[in-house]
Amino acid sequence: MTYLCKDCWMAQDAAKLLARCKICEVNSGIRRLDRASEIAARGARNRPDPVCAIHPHEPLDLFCGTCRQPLSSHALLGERSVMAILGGVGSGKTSLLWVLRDRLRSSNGVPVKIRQPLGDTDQQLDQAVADLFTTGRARATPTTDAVTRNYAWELVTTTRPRQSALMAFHDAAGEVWQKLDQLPREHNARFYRYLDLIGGIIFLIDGQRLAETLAEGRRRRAATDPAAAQEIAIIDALDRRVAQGPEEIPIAVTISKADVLWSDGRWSLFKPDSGASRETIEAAVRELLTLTGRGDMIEELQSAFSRVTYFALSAFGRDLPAGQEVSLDDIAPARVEEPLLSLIVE
Amino acid sequence: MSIHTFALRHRLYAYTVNAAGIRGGSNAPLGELDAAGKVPANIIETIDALLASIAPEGSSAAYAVQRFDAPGETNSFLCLVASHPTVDVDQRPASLNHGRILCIDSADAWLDIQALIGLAETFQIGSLLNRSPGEIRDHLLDTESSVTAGDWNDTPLRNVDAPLAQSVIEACLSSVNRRETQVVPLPRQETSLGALREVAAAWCSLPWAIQRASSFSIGSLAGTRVKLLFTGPGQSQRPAINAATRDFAATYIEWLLDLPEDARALIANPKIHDAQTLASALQRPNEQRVPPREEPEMAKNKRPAEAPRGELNQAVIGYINEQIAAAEDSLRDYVDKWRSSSAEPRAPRTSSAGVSPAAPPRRGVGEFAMAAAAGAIGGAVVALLIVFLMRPQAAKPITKQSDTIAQPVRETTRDAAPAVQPPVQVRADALPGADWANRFLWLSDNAPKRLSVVVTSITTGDAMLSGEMEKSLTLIRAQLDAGTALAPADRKLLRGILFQMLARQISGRDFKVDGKFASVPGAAVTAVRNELHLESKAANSGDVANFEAEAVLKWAARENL
Repeated sequence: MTYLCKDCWMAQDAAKLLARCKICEVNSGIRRLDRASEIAARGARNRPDPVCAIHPHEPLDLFCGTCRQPLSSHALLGERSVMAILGGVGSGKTSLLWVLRDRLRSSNGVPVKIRQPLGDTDQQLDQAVADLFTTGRARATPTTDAVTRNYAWELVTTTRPRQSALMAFHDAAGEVWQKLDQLPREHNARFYRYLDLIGGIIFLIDGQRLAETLAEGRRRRAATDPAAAQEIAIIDALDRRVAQGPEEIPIAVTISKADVLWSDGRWSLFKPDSGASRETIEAAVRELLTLTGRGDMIEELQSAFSRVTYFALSAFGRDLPAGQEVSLDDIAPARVEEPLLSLIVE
Repeated sequence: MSIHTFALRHRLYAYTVNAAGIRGGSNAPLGELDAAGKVPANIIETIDALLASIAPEGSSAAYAVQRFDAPGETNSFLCLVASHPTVDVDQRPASLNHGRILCIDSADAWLDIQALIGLAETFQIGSLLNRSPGEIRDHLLDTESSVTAGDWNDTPLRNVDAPLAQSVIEACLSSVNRRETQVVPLPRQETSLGALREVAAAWCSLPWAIQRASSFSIGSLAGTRVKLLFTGPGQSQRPAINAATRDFAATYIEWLLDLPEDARALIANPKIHDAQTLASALQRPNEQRVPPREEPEMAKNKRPAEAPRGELNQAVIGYINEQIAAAEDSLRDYVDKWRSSSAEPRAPRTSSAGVSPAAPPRRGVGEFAMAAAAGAIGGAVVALLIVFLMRPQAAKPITKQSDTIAQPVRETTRDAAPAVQPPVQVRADALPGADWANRFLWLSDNAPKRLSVVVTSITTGDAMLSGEMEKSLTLIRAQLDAGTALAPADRKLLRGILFQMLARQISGRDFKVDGKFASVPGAAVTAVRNELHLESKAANSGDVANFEAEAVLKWAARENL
């Protein structure tokens, strides 16, 4: 199967353009390409490559082989295959992805695991977190187009009958999300393409910032809290930029670095062994967000997205002092897979 | 080497908490030294995107270099970005990204970059990296508001290791028309700053329009918004460079070091914008060396400079026309004066009856003097004309070989009588001939060296030729270079090859070059027709020669060959 970028597809004969649009698919009785079982059933050699065969850096534009109309890339990747992991600067996006990969590499009691990383996913992710091991902090992510820090896994269920699905993330810098409203399309073509493919969102809110606000002992209004104002701005911009429309996309609102809150009795249920139900945690997260001046943001989210769920996680399970070396043995991730599972399973 | 002092502007991107209380990377204002408002907005936008995207891959600083020109103006800008490792407010490894922008408010765009590198080096030695943006602004105001830079010179290039210079030149030439970033591993270097000096020396030795199309970085992470990302050895695969580009890069470096004076003029030439135009320019090094002509040498009472015969520029032609007109006026005056001075009644003819014919009237001494003076004036004018027509003329600053003076005069006769050379070069698409095929025939028969220039220009791409075809082309070019007209079979083969190579370049399609029109895909033929606005048809085999010839000649005309 050959997929071609915009520059190449016109030069090819129609027989090579095998993807089908939804209408033709129904008419022809061909099943959609994003069925996890179908993708898993294909050998690695026959698995479609989502980049141009001639220009490996060029993302694909797909065209229906029958009616020649432009085709959504979801036809190839699946509605929920591309996830956005977004949040402000330093909210823990890169660290979460790294820990998530480690957690999903083996069963770990989680219903899905990574069957295989695609492309140079592992090398890119290892490079992104290289500083973490020597300094205790992941490096600030540079503001680039989505030409790097792209990770894709083939996930497979740990129970039989096995189902599999593709999962792709782009780890954009917090600055990109903060400036989403003014991001020039001509300089960020690939990032915009990524936005067009988003089928689910993990929205990280920095627990450290929430703890600082609580420590100030007063309820801050979003208008005076730069971090909260920034988060609302991100939601607003996302509402306008996401092609599919937020009303069709589920979002997992997630407090990161929740370990800094565990010592407070009100939020100790965020610990991994608290035994708290999902609903109880959701209610606690909403309360915490409201207490820290994010009530307006909750309303905005509820009205904009198809389904809003709330989580609190800690990628490392403890505070890592800056400048200290870290290894996987030193950390105890807490609830890191919950947002992802809620988006792909429910 | 001349020295210039130009204004220096700055942009600073730091990972801090900005005035609005937002954490993260953002531009820190630098007051009067800030490039915003002093450099065109589109260039600032690109520089800002570069500053936000760059980060060092290790513990050493990373660097990026990019040239710009202001749309519609002679101004140009040379930007050096230094990305110094630091930590941000959350103690995360981050960087302080500093862009120095040299504002060149003249056409001297070929200035060397080594002075900017020196500033970056001093800056990072001066323990300024942990200072606040405000302190850095004050420091820059004191020390970096202008910079003194020299023209390109060959000394830095002579200090660069040959394999590194070769890699850089190859990579730059092959990336000119690419959009995506290419990662290029370099031989091991002691420091990223040392690597920058070496890479920049090689990069600066390319024509500046190629520099403009080849932004690069040293020691930065993937994602940096440049065309070429130079990394350490072993971090990536060496990009595939075709043999022709490799060979050409080696030849070019040799040429630079052999003829640095010529190289300076070539680097400054804005019309050389890719490997093809660079290769064409290298075919004509002699013309590059001749300085532009200012005024007729005789007017300056100087001995005329040595120059190829047979080339007259428009100023000289105009001057000769003036002299001819002046000579005509002078002669007319002389004749009028002579007539008026001899206008006395003639003696009547005598009859045949023993009367001797009247003797011519005798002139007085004064009349003889006037006639002699007028004759001297006329002689002087004629002498002046002869001297002007015979004197060697300076060529245009950049022009073609002497055989490119295309007139319907065979080369063998031109050398014998340069004074009667028609002075104007006929465009390639206006050569004599009833149709395009005949014009191509005329070019082959009458100006084989000019055709050779066209062949060189078209064949500097990366077209894949079979061994046999390459051998044939080499022989054909040797004949043309020797000034020999081609035999019909060779001419036909050459025309076919040139058309196929044009079709490959214009359409971007890959097909075998065998000199046969039938091997060219229809879409490629259409692309050539549209690109060059061809009027001929290629409906049957009889028309093909015309069609191919039109494409080649129109392309040559467009390239001023």
